[in-house]
Amino acid sequence: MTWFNNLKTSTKLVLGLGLIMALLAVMWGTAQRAMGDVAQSRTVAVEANALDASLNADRALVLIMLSVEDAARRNGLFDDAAANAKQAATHLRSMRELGQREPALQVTIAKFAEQYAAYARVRDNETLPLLRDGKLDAARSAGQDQNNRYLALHDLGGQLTDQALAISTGQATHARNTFAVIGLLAILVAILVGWLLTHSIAGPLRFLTNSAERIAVGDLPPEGPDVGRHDEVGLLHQAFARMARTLRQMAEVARSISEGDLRVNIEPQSERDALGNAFAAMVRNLRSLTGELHEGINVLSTSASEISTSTSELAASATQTAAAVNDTTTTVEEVRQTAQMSSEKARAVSESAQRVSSISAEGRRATEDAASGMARIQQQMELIAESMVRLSEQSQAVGQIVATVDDLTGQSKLLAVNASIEAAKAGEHGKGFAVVAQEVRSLAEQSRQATAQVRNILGDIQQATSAAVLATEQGSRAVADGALQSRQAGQSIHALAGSVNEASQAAVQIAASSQQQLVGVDQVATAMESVKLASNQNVDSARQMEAAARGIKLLGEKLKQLAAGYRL
Amino acid sequence: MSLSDPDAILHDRAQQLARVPVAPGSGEQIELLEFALDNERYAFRSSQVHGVQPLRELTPLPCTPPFLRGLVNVHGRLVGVIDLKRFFGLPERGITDLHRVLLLRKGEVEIGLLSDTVEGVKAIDSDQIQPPLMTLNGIAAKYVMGVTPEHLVVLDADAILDDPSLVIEAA
Repeated sequence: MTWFNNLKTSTKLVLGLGLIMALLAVMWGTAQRAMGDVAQSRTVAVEANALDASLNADRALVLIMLSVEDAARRNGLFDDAAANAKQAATHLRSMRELGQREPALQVTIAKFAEQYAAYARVRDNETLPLLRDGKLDAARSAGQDQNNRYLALHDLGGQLTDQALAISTGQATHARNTFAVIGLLAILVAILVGWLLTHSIAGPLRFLTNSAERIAVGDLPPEGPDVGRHDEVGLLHQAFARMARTLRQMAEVARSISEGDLRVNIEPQSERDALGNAFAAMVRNLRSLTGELHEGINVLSTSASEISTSTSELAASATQTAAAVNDTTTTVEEVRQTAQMSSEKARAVSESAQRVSSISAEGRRATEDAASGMARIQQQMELIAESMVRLSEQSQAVGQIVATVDDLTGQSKLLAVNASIEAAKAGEHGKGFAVVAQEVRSLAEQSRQATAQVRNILGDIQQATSAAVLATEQGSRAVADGALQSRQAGQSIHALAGSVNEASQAAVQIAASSQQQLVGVDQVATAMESVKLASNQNVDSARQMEAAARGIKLLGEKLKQLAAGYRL
Repeated sequence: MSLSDPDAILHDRAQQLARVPVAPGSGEQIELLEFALDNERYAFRSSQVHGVQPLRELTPLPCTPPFLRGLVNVHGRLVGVIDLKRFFGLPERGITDLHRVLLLRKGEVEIGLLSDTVEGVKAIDSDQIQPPLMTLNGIAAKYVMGVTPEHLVVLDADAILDDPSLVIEAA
C-alpha cells in the first residue's frame, strides 16, 4: 500500500473514478443494445396491429361499396381504397425489415406476406374492377373467398403480435439480469475506491483538522513524529509542524511581552511573514508607546492631581453658590411677597384714589356751593352794613332830638324857677302858684333825668352801632376775604381734583404696573427655583466630579505603578 | 334807668308822700333860690331875685373891670353881667349856653349875676340860717348873709347891689 500512499492525490482520484466510469460505460452500452432489441420487437407488434387495422378498413370499404347503389358515390370511395392499400404495403415492408433479426418472426412474417399477397391480388384484380363496372352481385359472390382470406390474415396478424411481444419480454428480462450484475460490480468497485481514498487522505486530514481546531482555540500541539509520506498529505504535515513551531515561538515572545519584557528581538521568518513582521512592529510600537505612555501617565497623574484640587474647589464654590442661590431664592420669595403686598396696596390705593376722586368731585361742587353761598353772604353783609349806616344816622338824629328835648327841659326848669320867683313876689296870694311852679320844676327835673337816661341809652346804642358798623365792616371784609378764600379754595380743590384724578390714574397705572411686576417677580421666583434646582444638581455633579477626579488621580498613580512594570 | 326796678321808684315816692311835714318853726318861712358856682352851692332869697334868664348873646364890654363879663339883652333892657367867681376865688371856666343869669333889681339899678346852674326854689325857716364864719373877709364877707344846714351859702342881694365897688363910673 506504500506505493499507493506515495501516489499523488489527483492520480489516486483519477484512477478510482476512471474504474467506476469504465464500468458505467459497459453498462450504458449493454443497456443501449437491449433497449434497441426490445423497441424493435415492440415496433413489429405495432406494425402487425396497424396492418390488421388497415385490413379491417379495406374490408369495411368493400362492404360499403357493395351496399351503396349510387354509382357516383361508389366511385368516390375508390381513391380511399387505393390509399389504404398503399398504407398496408408500407406497413408490411417495414415489418419485414424489422423482422429480419429474429428468425422465428421471419417465418411468421413470410407466411403473413404470402397470404396478404393473395388477398391483395383478388381485391385488385376481381373485386374492385367488378365494383367499378357496377357488377355488384358478382362482386358479392366473389367476396366470400376474400372473406376467408381476411380471417386467415387476421389470425396470422394476432399470432405475429403475440410472438413479437413474447420476444420483447424475453429481451427485457435478459437486459435486467445483465444490469444487476454490472451495477453490483460497479458498487463494489466504488466502495473499494472510496475506502482507499478515505483511508489515505481523509484520515490524516481529520488529524490535521483536529490539530487546526486546537490551534484555532489557542492550544498549540507539541511537535509530533514525521509521518514519512511524500504526497500532499505528508507535505501538509510538515508545513503544519513548521507553522505550529513558529506559532509556539510567537506565543513564547508574546508571553515574555505580556510579562513586561519588551527587550525580546524578533526575526521574521521571511519578508512576507505577516505575523512575524507584525510582532516585530508591535514590539517596536509597544516600546515607543510604552515610552510615550510613561510620559503620558506622568502628565496624567499631575493633571489628575490638579483636576482633583480644582474639582474640590469647584465643589466648595458650587456649595457656596447653592447656598447663595438658596438665599437669593428666599430673598426673591420675600420680594415676591412684598410685590404681592405692594400690588394689593396699589390696588387698594387705586380704589381709594377713585373714591378720593369722587369725593374731590363732591368737594368741588361743595366749594362751588360755598362760593355762591359766600357771594350771597356778601350781599347780605352789604345790606346789613347799609342798615347799620342808616341805624347810625338815625341814632344821630335821635341824639339831636334828645338834645332838643334837653334844651326844652332846661327852659322848662328855668320857667319853673321864674314862676316860683313870681309867686314869691305875689306873697301870700302866690303860694298856690308856687306849688304849681315847684311841680313844674319837678317834672322838668324828671324830664332831664329821663333825657339823661335816653342820652345814656343813646350813647350805648351809638357805641353799639359803631361797634356793629365796625364789626359789619370787618364782617364784610371777612366775608370778602372768605369769598376770595372760598374762590381760592374752589380753585385749589379744582386743582386738587385734577391732581387727584391724575393721582387716581397714576394709582391705576401703578396698580397695573405692580400687577405686572408681581407677575415678573413670580417668573423670577420660578426661574430662581429652577436655578436653585440646577445649583443643587451642580453641587451633586461637583461632588461626583470630585469623587471622579479622586478616582482619576488614584488611577493615574496605579497606571504609574503599572507602567513602571514594563522593562524597555 | 332800667325799667326793672319800678318797685323801687314806687317805694321812694311812697316814702316822700308819707313824710310828715316839718312842723312850722317859730321863725319866719323864707324861700331860697339855689344856684351853683363851680361846685359850690349858693342861694338868694327869692324875693330879692327879679328873674332868671338863660345866658344868650353875651356882649363883652371893653375897658371894663374883669368881674363885668359883658352885657345881655333882657326884654329890651341892657343888663350888665357880673361874675361872682372873681369875688369868691373860684376857678374861671368857659361860658356856655347852659349858664344862667340871675336878674337883681333895686330901683333903677338892675344887674345880672352869672351862675353855672339854677337848682330851684326851696322854703326854709329863717332861724335855721347860721351866721357866716368870721374867717371870711373882703367882698365875700360883705355879701354872705348866712349858711343853711344844707351848706347853702345864702347871699345878700341888697349888699351886692349897694356895693359901691361895683359901680363903674364913666371916666
